[in-house]
Parts: sequence; C-alpha cells; structure tokens
Amino acid sequence: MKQLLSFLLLALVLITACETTPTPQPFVSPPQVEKPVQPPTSIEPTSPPTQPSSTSTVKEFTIRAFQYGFEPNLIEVKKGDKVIIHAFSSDTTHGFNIPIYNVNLVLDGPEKKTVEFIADKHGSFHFRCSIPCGHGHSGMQGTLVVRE
Amino acid sequence: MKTFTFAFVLLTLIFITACETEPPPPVNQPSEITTEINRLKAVAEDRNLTVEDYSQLNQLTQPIPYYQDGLKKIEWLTEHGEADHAAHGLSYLLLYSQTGKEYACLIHDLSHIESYLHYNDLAMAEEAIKELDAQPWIDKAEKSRQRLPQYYKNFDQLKATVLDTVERLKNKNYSQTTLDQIEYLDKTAPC
Repeated sequence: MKQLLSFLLLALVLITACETTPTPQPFVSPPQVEKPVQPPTSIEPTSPPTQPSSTSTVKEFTIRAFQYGFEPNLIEVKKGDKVIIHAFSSDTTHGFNIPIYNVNLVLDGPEKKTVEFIADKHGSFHFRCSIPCGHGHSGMQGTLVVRE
Repeated sequence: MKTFTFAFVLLTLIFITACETEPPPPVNQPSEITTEINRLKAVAEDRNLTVEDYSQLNQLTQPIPYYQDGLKKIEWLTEHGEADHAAHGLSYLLLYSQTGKEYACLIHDLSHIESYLHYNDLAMAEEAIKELDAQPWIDKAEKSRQRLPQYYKNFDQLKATVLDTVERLKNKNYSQTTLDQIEYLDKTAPC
C-alpha cells in the first residue's frame, strides 16, 4: 500500500512538473489599437473634462470612410493632445491607417471603431485606407496635422 | 519492490521524453510585427522603400509562410519600382498581423500578375496564376451588390471578364487582350 501511495505521489509530482513546460501562446493577439465602440460623436473636436497634461486637451473626431476618400480628410491637433478617433465605412470595407502612430482600424460597415493615442510627434501625417478597395484605393487618404 | 522500480523507471522515461519536446519557435510576435509594418509604412511616406528595409520584418516573420510569401512578392514589387503595389502587400500583412485573417482581392492579384508579365518574370507570374480563384471574388461581389448596387451596375460584365481573364491566364494566354482585360478590371472592379 505504501509503495502504491509513493508511486502515485511521484506520478503526481512528475505530471505537475511537466505541465510547467512553456505552452505556445495564441498566434494572434487582439488588435492593440481597437477600443470598444463609443456613442456617436460630432466631427468637430470637443474638449472632454479629462486632460492628459496641463497644456494638452482631448480631441475627438468621427471620420467616415467611403469609396474613395475620408470625411473629414483633414484633422488638426496640438502636440501632446490625446486624440480619439471614431471611424466607420459608409460603403464597402476600408481601413484607417496612421502608420506613424501605429494605428490601423478595419472598417467593415456603419459600426464605429474607435482608437485613441497621444499626438506626441509634430508634423503632417497621412492617414490612408489600408484595405485595397478598388481602383481609387491608392488615392484614398487624409491628413493629420499635429502642431507644436 | 520490483514492480515499483519498474514503474518508476518507466514513468521517468515518459517524463523525460515528454518534457524534452522542443518548445515551439518564437513566432508569436504579432505586436512587434504590426509595429514594424507600420514603421515601414511611415518610412514609405517619406521615401521609396528598398529591399533592405524589409530585413527586420523578414527576421520577425521568418517561420510564418503567409508573411514569407507576402514578403517575397513585396520585395519583388519594390525591386521593380512598383511602390503602390508593394504598399498594398504591406497592408495585407498588417491586417494579418492584427486579425489573423488572410485578406485577398482577386483584382489586386491580377494587377500584380500584369506587373510580373510586364517585367517578363514568368516564374513569378505562373506561381501567382496557380493561386488564382475567381469564385471567392464572385461570391463576395454578389453579396456586396445587394447592399451597394450603385457600385455594381455593370456586375454581369465584370463577372464575365473576371472569369474569362482567369481562364486565359490559366491557359498561359498572356496576349495583349488578356493584359487589357486586367487593366479594365483594375480600373473598374471593386475589391
């Protein structure tokens, strides 16, 4: 009986030890930039109460993607602002990509997708459609201006 | 006691064999890959990318066939000055790194084949032609047409051209007419 117990104990220890071997992580992690869908907002920037720093504000935009453009296609913020963008497509599937801020949303319909980031690099940056959507795809772009 | 010793040795052997299994290669770096692709796309806003620019992405995606296949095409397009098409290829890799989904557009693939043929790279063209399948595009277009009829007014003509073009390419018919059809689809057909 003692032997049987020792054997079972040993087996348990070995199994437990073996289970600590690293297991592969899932191949795809959830998109880093997508946030839960927010209620509709206006196209004009607004200043919600929370502020990332004493001089920066929160700028919120709603952008519509369509064949073949964005509306609005120019958004302006100040360096240090927290930028919140809600984007959607009014026709086929489009992407919304601002490479410099590592932002990319898949817009597959009227449901808004939201992303937020701190505009910590000043300059003019294109945002583009990142899903080939037809012959006008290459020209489908807008501009994010981050002022000092 | 003999039974116990035998069981102990057997169990130890099983344990060693199981635990010595190599952990999988470190392929799971989607966030690094996503960041690297966005970095490349940001660089491409300022200057044309070169094949050397992809070395980091190549390294990060080494064991994953989808990326490697995509990168091979992107590098070819970059080498041949097809910056727009290379950018599209990068977009597909970006989407894959975020969603794990393989986005595809037949029209886009056809325009790449046109480039391969234009530069007389039959090996690249034929490899891409092997993968051509008109049906997924037709199925998707049928669905989209119901939702967005304004973009599919000439759907029957597009569908006929798509089917004919794919058949021509599969039959190694690379005539000017085939190339013109690709051009027509590229200018008129939605993805």
